[in-house]
Amino acid sequence: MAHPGFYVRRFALPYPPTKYRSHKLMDNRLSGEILVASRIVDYLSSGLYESPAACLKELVNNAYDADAKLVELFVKPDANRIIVTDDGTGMDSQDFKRNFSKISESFKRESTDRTESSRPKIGKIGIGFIAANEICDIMQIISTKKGSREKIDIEINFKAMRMPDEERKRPGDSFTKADYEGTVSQAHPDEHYTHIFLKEVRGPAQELLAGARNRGESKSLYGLSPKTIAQRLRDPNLRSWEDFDFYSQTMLEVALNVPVPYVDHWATKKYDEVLSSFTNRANSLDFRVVFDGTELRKPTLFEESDESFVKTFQYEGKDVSFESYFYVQHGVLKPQDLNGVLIRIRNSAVGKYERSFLGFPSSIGTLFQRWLSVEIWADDRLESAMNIDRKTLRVTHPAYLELVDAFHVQLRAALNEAREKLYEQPSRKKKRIRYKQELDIIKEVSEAARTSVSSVTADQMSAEQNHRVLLKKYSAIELIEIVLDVSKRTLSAKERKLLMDELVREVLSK
Amino acid sequence: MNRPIDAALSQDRPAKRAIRQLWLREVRRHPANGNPIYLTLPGTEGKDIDLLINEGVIATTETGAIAAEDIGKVVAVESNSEAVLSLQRKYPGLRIHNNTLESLMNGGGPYAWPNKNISRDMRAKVVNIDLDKSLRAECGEEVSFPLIKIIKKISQLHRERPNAEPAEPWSLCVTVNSTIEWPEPAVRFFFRFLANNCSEHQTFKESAAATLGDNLVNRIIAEYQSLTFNHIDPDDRAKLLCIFLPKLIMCEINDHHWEAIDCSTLSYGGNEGHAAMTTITIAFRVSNAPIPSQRYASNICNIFPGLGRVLDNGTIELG
Repeated sequence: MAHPGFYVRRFALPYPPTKYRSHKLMDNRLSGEILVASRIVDYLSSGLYESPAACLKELVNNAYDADAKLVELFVKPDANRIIVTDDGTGMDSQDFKRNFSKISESFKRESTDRTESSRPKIGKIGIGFIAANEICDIMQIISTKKGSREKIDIEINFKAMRMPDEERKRPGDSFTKADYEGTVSQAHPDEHYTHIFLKEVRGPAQELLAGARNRGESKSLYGLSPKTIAQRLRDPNLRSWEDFDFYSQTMLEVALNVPVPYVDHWATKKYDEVLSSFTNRANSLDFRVVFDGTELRKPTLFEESDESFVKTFQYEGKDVSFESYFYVQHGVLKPQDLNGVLIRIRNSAVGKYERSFLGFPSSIGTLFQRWLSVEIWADDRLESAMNIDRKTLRVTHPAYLELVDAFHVQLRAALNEAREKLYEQPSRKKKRIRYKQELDIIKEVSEAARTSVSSVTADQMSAEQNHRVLLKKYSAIELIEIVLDVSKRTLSAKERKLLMDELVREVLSK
Repeated sequence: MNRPIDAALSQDRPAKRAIRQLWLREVRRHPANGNPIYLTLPGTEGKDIDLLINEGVIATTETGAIAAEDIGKVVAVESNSEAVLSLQRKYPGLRIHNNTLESLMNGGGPYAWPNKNISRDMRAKVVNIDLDKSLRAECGEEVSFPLIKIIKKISQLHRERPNAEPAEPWSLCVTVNSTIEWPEPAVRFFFRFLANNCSEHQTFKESAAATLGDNLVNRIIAEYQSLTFNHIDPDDRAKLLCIFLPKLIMCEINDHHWEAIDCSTLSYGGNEGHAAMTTITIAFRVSNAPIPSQRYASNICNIFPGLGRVLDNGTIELG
């Protein structure tokens, strides 16, 4: 969802993103090396994150990559200052200089794409901290690294990047993103943490996060336990997460994206077993995020329903492999935010639930598409298809194309199953019930007729009178229908055909 | 993070508990309408905030966060970012200013004022400035006490409310280390200030004599130009500070038409490894006395009934 006023376009005029260096002219041929000016990163970061939630989840994912087990976020009371703190490996001054002094180079996956504890790193090109730049003017980092006696306390001033070019330019055509200054003090070598303070949070982001832009009487999830939040999310009256205030929507978006566990019985107890591989996978990551004192769990929760089913699939392909589940229930999914397909790569979600089901024709099973929620946990090969915004995938990437094809096959199967299990079978069942009710009526009528007839002497009861008694209660058409229904249950096909022929002849002769 | 201030503020000995009860009394003195009701420098532990929660003044949610309806009722001031984090962890949702009180107030000067939000917070019904440091004196062209200047500005903010709203009663709580380490001009100012009051206000002199003894009061009047703290017994020194501090506050805020309706000045600690401390609570309301000198005379005489000491077992002994 785009929020008016959040985007800040910093540079009105285009700036050439490339320059030519060490070019040479030989035999009328011009050759040379094209270098990307560091300022291109400014362009990339500008508006990169569509909402404050996107920035926060980027910082949480950074903590995950630092092997943190616990991340705490503090946004309330007014989001003027946001704190993100983790118990990850931390940084010393060397790490800081390496990672921050020139952000166009990344060391995140320099030697390995796994963390010390073998977690697959979510971040790839080291621009996660630019997220901070999108929502605040000053970022303070206090950190110490395990085994190091250094504690750094550094303040980065993002305001610098909004200075005129001539003031921002450094020798060698390198642009400084933000100036920093700080201190190094003593720390105990056993300590390891990173505290990030986002200060002077910029107006629109602050207003949104603090809930100042709430519409009317929005509900809030602030200060609630995971159990209570689960109850609120399962409230049948909840149409969408937008029924909550923006603060809560931010909380839910972060929870959806980052590698936190699912709520117990998230898809109801009935499906615990069939979905256990997904539940166990998320829980085994040993990663907790606490948001203003509330522990976050994935907000993927489905309500108790007899008319639902879950289908899991596994796909092993040439360019991509993935595991997915399809949750289908009779009726439109609520909250509607869960309707669609959510892709996870390296345990982190790519954007939100995508409601076009990766370009699946909307004409196929239109009704059932709205009954469906899908998660796809893809393998690392899909990562290279991910755009820098981490919320979309490149539609031309071979891994993505293969995933889409395989997914659409699964989706067709799921939609067919939905049609059969949740629509046609119940429809047949309903018909059976209706027939049974009609039969009961016939029995009742027959009984009533018998009683009525027995009170009249046989010689008084002419065929004509019998007809009148029945026609008082039923029309001729209804009587024929009743006769046909009874014949279905009591006669063989041959006899039924004979009866039909006789009836048709009789009706036509009238 | 291991700061002496946090150790001092987190003390749960009976004397400190008794003082927190005094702060609670001040909070309850005022109606809970309008926010904030309490501004504090709580350290990392926030024992005073604990008390407000336990006493039901502030509600918390099921996760321990400050309840949405009570956010902004309590405001903390803490300059150290790591201490801010500790507080925020303990009380999610608590409004905390990550700055010094002095910076928030834009110093003690009369020209630079805090912004709207900070001004609102400084107008808390109870402003509790709990320090582990002693009162600092600055000697330029004239002797000044930065903390008192800040208090003066806070009192002015209370007096001058936005949209010409009428000023409301409020309370000030101040705690400082009783140690006096001032340069000579400040010491001279101290004795001259007391001597002048004794000379000019007979009631004040009589009350001071009842507390300090005739001998010391007469010495102050006669020798204020040469008297030093070394000449005075440590117990009397603490009592002198207990008189001087509220008197100085009354003097500074006199221009803003505040009348002290209740004032306690208590000393505590000073033994068993605990620093000697002085704590003051003053409840103010708008004064009806039109003449400043009348107001001042009345205010400084209000100091003496509340003078006393908090014993180690938490008992308050007046007199």
